[in-house]
Amino acid sequence: MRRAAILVGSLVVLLLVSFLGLGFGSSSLSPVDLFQMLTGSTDNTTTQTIFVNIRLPRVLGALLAGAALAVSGCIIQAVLNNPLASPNIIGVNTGAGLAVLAVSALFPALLFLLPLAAFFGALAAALIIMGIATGGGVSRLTLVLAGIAITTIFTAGMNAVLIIYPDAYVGAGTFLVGGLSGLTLERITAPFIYILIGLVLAFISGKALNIISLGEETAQALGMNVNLRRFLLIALAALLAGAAVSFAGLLGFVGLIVPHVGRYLLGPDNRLLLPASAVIGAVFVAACDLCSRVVFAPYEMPVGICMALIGGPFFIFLIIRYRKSSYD
Amino acid sequence: MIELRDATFTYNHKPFIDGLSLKLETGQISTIIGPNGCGKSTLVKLISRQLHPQHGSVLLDGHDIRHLKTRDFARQVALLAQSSFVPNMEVEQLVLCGRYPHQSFVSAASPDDRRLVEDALSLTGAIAFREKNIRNLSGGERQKVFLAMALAQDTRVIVLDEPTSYLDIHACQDVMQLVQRLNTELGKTIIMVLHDLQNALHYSHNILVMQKGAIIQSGSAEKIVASNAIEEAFQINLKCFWENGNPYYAFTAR
Repeated sequence: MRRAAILVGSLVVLLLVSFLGLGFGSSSLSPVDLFQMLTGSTDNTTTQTIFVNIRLPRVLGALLAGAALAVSGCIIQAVLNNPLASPNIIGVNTGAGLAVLAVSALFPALLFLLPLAAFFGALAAALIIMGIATGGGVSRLTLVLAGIAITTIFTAGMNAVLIIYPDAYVGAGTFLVGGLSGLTLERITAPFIYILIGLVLAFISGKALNIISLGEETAQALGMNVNLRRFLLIALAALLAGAAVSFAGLLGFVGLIVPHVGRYLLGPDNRLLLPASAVIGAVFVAACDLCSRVVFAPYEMPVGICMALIGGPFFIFLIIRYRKSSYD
Repeated sequence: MIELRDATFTYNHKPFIDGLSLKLETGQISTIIGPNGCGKSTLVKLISRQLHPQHGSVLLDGHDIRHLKTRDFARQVALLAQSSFVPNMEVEQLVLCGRYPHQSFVSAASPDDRRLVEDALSLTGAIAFREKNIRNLSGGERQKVFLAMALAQDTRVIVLDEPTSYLDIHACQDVMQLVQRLNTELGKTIIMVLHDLQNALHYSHNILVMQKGAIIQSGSAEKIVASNAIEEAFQINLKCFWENGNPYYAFTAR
């Protein structure tokens, strides 16, 4: 009952934040404007332009990126059995970011391939980390350190691309911290499809994630082909994170914070945690984006800065909490 | 029946178990004992298909388990692995995980699954803390929950790798009595590794004494005690006392 109430409450908050996100900005739309837009009963072209070309893509982008990164974080934490892991911590986001910038620089005519390239970049980083993690005897913090090393390498790669091809990516500064300004519906169409497929696959993988979180020996004893399933789940996490990074840039900490919030509210069952994380992640990014537009108005901060300000301290809290239980 | 035929397993090109052959009868409690590093856990891993022998074979009812699908094997043999890892999960959810080999990838728990989980929770006593997180339970309670999961797996054979490690004497006896009930009341074949020789001699139909990767003696407690195999394997003295018709064992250093 409590869990159902929390889920329904989250959905209500999601709608509220989305509505506010559609309304607020440098040119605000009133609730009446929004209602008329949503019911198709307005002829005001300015309102239509702001709504369709600016607000709607931005809010949809925030919801998609939040849901994708949060679910990706859930999967990564369960597969690596590491509550400190997330797409940005272990280098998955930067792997995707490097691929996005490289394709933008080298194949500017093939920008529709960005989500696919981001997927392979994210997958490469995830597989390196998985290789390190499955070596055995690797503590949680060691894995985080390995993630920092991978992030450093990929970040160097991104900087190199941007120095050699300074015009490779419009708004590269925002991309590197994560931002949603300037999104268009065309730009998020392909990632939308990737994320939708990824979320559906993730939601039906809750049971498998529960089994994997019992540890390799037990999972195998329960009849699971652990290595294959781990690979498929990590590929799924890379698909989701890569698709989000392809349009939202290196948004940090969603995949770290949201699974913890979800577990706190709803418990550790991944069958419930995955869909709940999608909703909470969407709310989190949309709310942060709203704050970054409103709090510093008339200036606009990239949403990644707002999230880093929340995520950084939360990460330190987690490190302190888990430092004494590195192997459990 | 589980059988090893000339099974050899090597670590780093060094034979750890070398040409081992043995038979474990259906419906019995078989316990493997031996000093640290003698190969007990490796043997259990071979039996539970966590490892495969480089030479020879492990047979379940005459079929080489290497050729069974992982899921089919999991429907016949459950394993309670030795691990200090405690998952972040609620008791009922963990026990339901035992039904995994019987479910499809996406299916929810069937009425049969629910019934078997309820039965497993009741029989093990884990029903008293079914809604708690496993991390908030004592060591003895956790072992009961894992035994409930193995029970929900609904297999004929349950393999236990040191199920009483880290438990105090009361919790240890609770777990051993539960294991005995699984055998006597439900007819489960139990294969386990124990460090506690007293429990091994008290609860087992068949004891296998291991030393340096080989079985140096096997049989009933009386046969094992009479054979001096324990003294030889552990380099200790063993004395048996009888009181009210029950044997009690004392172990002293040589």
